[in-house]
Amino acid sequence: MTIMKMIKMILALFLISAISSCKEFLDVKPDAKLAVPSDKLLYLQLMLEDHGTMNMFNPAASDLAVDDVFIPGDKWTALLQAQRTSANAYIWDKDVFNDIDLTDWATSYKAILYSNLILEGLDKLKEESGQVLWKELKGAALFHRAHANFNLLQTFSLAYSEATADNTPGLPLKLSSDINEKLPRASVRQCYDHVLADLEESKTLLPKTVEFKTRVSMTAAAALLARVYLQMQQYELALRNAEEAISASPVLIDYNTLNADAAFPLNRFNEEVIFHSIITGLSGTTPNFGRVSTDLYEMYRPDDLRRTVYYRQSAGEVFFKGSYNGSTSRFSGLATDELYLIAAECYARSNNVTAALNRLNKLLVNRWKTGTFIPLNTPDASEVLSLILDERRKELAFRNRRWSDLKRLNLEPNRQKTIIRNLNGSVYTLEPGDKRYAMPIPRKVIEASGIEQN
Amino acid sequence: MKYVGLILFLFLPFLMRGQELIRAKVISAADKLPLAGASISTTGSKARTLSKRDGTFSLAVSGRADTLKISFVGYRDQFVPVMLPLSAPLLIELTENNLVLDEVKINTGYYELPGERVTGSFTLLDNKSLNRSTAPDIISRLKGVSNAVLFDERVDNNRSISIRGLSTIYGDTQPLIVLNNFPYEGGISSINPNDVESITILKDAAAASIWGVRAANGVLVITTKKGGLNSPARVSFNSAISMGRKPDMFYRPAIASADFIEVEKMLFENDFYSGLEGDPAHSPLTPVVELLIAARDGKITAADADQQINALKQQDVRNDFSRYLYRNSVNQQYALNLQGGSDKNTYYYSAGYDRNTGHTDNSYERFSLRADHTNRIGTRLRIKPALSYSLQNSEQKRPDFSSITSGDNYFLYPYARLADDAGNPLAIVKNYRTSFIQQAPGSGLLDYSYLPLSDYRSRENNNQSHELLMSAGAVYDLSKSLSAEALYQYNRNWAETGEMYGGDSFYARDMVNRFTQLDENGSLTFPVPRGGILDQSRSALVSNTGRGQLKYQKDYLKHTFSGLMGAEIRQLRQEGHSFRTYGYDSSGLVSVPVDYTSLYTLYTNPDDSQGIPYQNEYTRELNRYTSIYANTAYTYDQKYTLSLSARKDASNLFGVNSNQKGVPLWSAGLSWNVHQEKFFKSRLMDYLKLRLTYGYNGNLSRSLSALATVLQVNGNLNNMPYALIRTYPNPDLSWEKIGILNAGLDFKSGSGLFSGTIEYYRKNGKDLIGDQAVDPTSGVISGTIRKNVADMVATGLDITLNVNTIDRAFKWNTGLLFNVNSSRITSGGNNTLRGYRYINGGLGITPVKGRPVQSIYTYKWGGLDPQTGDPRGIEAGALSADYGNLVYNSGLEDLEYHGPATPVTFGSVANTFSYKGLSLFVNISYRLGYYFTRPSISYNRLYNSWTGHADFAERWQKPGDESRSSVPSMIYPADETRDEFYTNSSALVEKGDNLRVQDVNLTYSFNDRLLKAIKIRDFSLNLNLRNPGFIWRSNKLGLDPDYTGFTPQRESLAFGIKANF
Repeated sequence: MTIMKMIKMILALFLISAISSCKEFLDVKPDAKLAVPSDKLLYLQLMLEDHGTMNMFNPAASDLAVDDVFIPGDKWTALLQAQRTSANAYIWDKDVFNDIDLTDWATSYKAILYSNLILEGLDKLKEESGQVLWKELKGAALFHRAHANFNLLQTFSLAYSEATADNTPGLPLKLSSDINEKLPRASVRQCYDHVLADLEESKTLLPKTVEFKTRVSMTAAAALLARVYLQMQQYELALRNAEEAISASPVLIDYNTLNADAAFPLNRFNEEVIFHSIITGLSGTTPNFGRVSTDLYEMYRPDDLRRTVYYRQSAGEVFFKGSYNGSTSRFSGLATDELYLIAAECYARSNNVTAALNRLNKLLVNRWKTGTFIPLNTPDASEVLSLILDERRKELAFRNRRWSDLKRLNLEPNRQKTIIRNLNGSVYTLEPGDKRYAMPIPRKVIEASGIEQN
Repeated sequence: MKYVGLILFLFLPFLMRGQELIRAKVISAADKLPLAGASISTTGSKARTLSKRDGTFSLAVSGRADTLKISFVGYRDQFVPVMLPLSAPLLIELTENNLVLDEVKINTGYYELPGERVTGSFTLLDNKSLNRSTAPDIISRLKGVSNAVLFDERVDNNRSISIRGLSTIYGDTQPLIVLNNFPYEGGISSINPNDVESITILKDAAAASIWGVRAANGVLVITTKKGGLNSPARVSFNSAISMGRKPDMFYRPAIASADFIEVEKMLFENDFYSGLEGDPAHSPLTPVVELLIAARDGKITAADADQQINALKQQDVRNDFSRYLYRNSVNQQYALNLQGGSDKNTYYYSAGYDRNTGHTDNSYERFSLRADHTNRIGTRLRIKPALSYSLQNSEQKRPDFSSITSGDNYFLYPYARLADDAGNPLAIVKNYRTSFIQQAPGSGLLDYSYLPLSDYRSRENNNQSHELLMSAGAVYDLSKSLSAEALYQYNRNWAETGEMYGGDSFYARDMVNRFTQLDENGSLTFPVPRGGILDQSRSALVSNTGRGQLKYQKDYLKHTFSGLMGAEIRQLRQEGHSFRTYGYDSSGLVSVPVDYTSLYTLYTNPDDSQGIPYQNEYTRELNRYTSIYANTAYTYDQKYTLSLSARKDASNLFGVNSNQKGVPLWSAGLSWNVHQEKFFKSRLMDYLKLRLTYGYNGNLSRSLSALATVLQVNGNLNNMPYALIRTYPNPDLSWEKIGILNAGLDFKSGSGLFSGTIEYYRKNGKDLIGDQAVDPTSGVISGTIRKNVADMVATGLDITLNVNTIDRAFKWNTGLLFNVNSSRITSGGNNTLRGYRYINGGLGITPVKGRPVQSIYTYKWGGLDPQTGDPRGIEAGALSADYGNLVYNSGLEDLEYHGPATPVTFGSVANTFSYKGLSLFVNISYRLGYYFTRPSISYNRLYNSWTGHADFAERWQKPGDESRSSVPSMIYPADETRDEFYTNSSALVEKGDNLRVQDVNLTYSFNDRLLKAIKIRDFSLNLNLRNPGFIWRSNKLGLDPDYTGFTPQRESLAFGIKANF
């Protein structure tokens, strides 16, 4: 090797490292599994496929605060040790969410962060906005953000009412992925308006059908809109969206075809499911602690198949097994049966008794033992409404709807309910309109953000 | 520099006036070769000079008589009285000095440097100190013999070492390991320690900054043996056999069987098991509970049950473990090497074979080969090719103590029987109730029993790994003082792991049984096919590193200038693949496909449905680095040295803008050889040097990113791939930087009586990655995010002292190592979390401002309640038993801080006594100033997972007991929070301070005359006793504070022979 060759080689090495240090050499990915989401539509799509964030961990504490659930005293004492959040949610204590990281607050805001990252990524990939996939991703991200915000409103804000919506504190409306951003709580009206805006836009972007029920379809957006409008007591719009969703997904399962003896008679992704999601598995929602209140169980008539499809009895106690998730985890997604009930309620509230009964009977005939169901028939709209609301409670038990229903029905003087718990010698009461219908925001959040506590 | 020389030149004639000339030649006493660069001075006049290349010098002195002082690195100073004029040139022979300090040639992995010109902080461990131990891996041999290196072995199978303490909170904590000039990424066990010539530990910025962003935790530079120029062929052989005593099963303070059974009876009477009896998952119940149930149900008589239970009270499963599963370990080591060299070439070849058999018969085998050459081609070019290969095989055999359990959530009950009186294996309760297990074969399932003593025979677990290292270097001397160097290294590691669960193994049978489907007609189907289950994984790591550098070295009169600049480029690629095969039959090499997509209701638990575990995983990582670096040193008159070093690294960190990928780091140092000064005429001190350096080292956290990044993973609910957020958006992320100030003093007495080094350092960690609370509204579930938030300061002392108390035929040498390292977080510590977040036994890290990185915090202890035996804490100054409040609502201020979890002061005292060929080495190590939390009884875990503790026997039982014990009373039902409070309270904190004998070594070297007759150059025998035990420990409970596992390592005895031909 000559001197010149040697020097050339060394110079070449210098050059390579000098040049490449800022060029391609260092631009390769260190791990083939990593990606910056805004680089490709595919990565944004893969984020939406993360069911652990987008289809799980819907708020669960409210499911323990409702009148459908019963926890025996000794189980409650054990639960207090196992998970404070669960035990305290049951008695509406102010100390909830402070012993676990997977709080109802954080898990929903995580879905919002994903949605915001996806929306920002789509903005960066604007040149692909003509593609169907781009539109569908945007629709899905908007849907998920609305879904999470709506769920948060149910847990952490008081009921929506036209009169007070401007003055009732809602949520910090998180519209960017900036983790350092500080936001105050927007009003309940602003929040609901935002939920509606996101959903209305998503409905125009989403596909009619989807391959998997964890993905979002146009029908899911309509179904969620129906749910939101119903919660806002805007019955006309609720009805329109419910009917729209029913026409796309009209099938009801005939419970006579189910094996009521099975551990879980209903399957995940069954025919009624439009959009799949489940709530956080809090200890209190598992059969180890949570039972079914007699109050609810006794509403089911003997020939009502839901009595055996939804519940099992063991040593005099009643346990829930009718999850549309096919397991002990509770379903909180969107399904056709809820749409029939929304439509029926909206018809009843606009005094269209025939249509209301029509929707209700259509549902119930699939729930009763073949040949035993006598279609309901009464001309009184108010009585029909009461029937529908009772059926709503029975049909949607442990589907994460009861807390929202209690909130909105308590706004109607003749439909208010006081929940009383007798527990280990103490009596706990939740009056209609109680401030505790908005659950305490986790202490960690208050400490970090300084926002107003409920 | 030019001017200094010019001035000296001008003055030279004046100095020389009226003087006599001394002519002499300096040679080495050993090989009679000339020594160039020896320094010559006179005691009578100011004249001094250096010897030339041929060893000669001439020096003009005034006067008639004088004494010459000749010094040379690595040799003893020589004083030669001269009478002038001289009749003939003098021949001065220097003898080699064997003190480590003098023969130091520091190797940083980039360049070599004589100890004299060093400014930074280095510790050199030579072959001799590394060979005192016969440990099969080189890092273990550092234990107790190296300054500033602390071993942390508290967690089983997770040894970590630190140099001068931790410099990071969540960054990488391990020192960089450099093998023959290149960062080493392979397993440390691939290196045959018999090939290692020396290890240099780079501790401060001046020493390590040449390694840039990876140097923050210090650098260990391993240099392997090479042949010497002009040396005849030499063959060395050494072998060692060591035996390790089997672990003491009774070290673990287990609950007595009789006590455990009494607890079970109490629980039974309280109806504790009634829920589990009807459990659809068939949760396991212990034999005693089954007997109690059988007696209650009238299946056996009460007397029968009592008799059987009383028999079980005598049984202690630890005896079975000791008798049937554990043995003494045996390690064998053989190493052979051949080395030598001509005037142009050197060579070194070696082969090594190790075979270890562990305590549970696990075997390990290593076969290693190495070849290393230096060839001179022409006068200017040297090439240095090297090749090494190692093969390691390991195989797991019998299960160990912790792997035999009664289920995923259960420990093994203390009266379990592993074998009957004749030694035949017995089944233990495993995963399910015995009644369920017994009826399994009748229901068409496979036999469901688990026999720990024979089950392992149906399993095979082996691991084979290979390592190939090839390197080539070329040095071309462009001129006398300038050389160009190119180096390249290729490293490939590949490994295969196989875990075969034979069809008869419990694991495979359990998988088949669990997924067995029973249809409405009562017929069975088997989604998991009968037969074996084979898990395999393969991985490969390939690294390529290239380096080009220019070196400059020039001596001009009193000036010595050396410099180095270069660039490096490096790529590391790792790939892996693991997969599982069901229904595997190794005899016919057949397997059976399964349906991974369906969910199956488990036969063992109708409430649970699962898919068949899908274990197919691929990984690929590619890390790239580029660096440019420069290093210079200037020495004036052998007295003053200034060193400067700088390096810029860049890498393909993900999700970071390019300009943030690189980071510049630098260091500067000064040293002063005081003994070279004329005014320094101490007869006492022969060598005295002061050093001062400052600079920055970096640390890399490759897991963080400034942008949001996602990780693609397998299988969501629809069996589709999906992506998870791996890092949250974090735009301000930067590298961690450690500023290090180091001040050192090296000294040696004239007579060689004592020598040593004293160093003080102060490390300032800046922009350390720490957790910062973030509003969960951001979507960050944990509520914290890793950012550059923390700063820390660590100060310390490293002292090495070597005393040759007696240096005659009988020799007594004492080596003392003394290290102090104390650190504290100065900012970024999160002091507002709730108390329990800080309590982690010192194993986890929750940084607290003003405290060490790893601290011991506990709940304040208020003693036991004299009436109830309940543990009490302290809340707002008053005694409290509100455990929920104490545990979940305490703040940091409510906790007790004990101190650091790792030693603040540590070191060793090594004494060597030798007489003729016999030498005895005794090394005692000490670790002081730290704390640990000892385990104790948790009633909740005792009831629910069968985990007991001997403290149970000490529990409070009646008023008055609180004065002798702090173990809470047993209550039913158990209160998990009460247990949580007690097991993390200050009642259980002990001081870790201890003194232990690390090594005792007895060596006999046979004398030369005898050996020469049989053509052997050296022959020695060696007996090494490692870790024989404690001399003193602060805790009175016989606990090993440096080990939190079940069974600490016990002593091992090694016998070795060594021969050179």
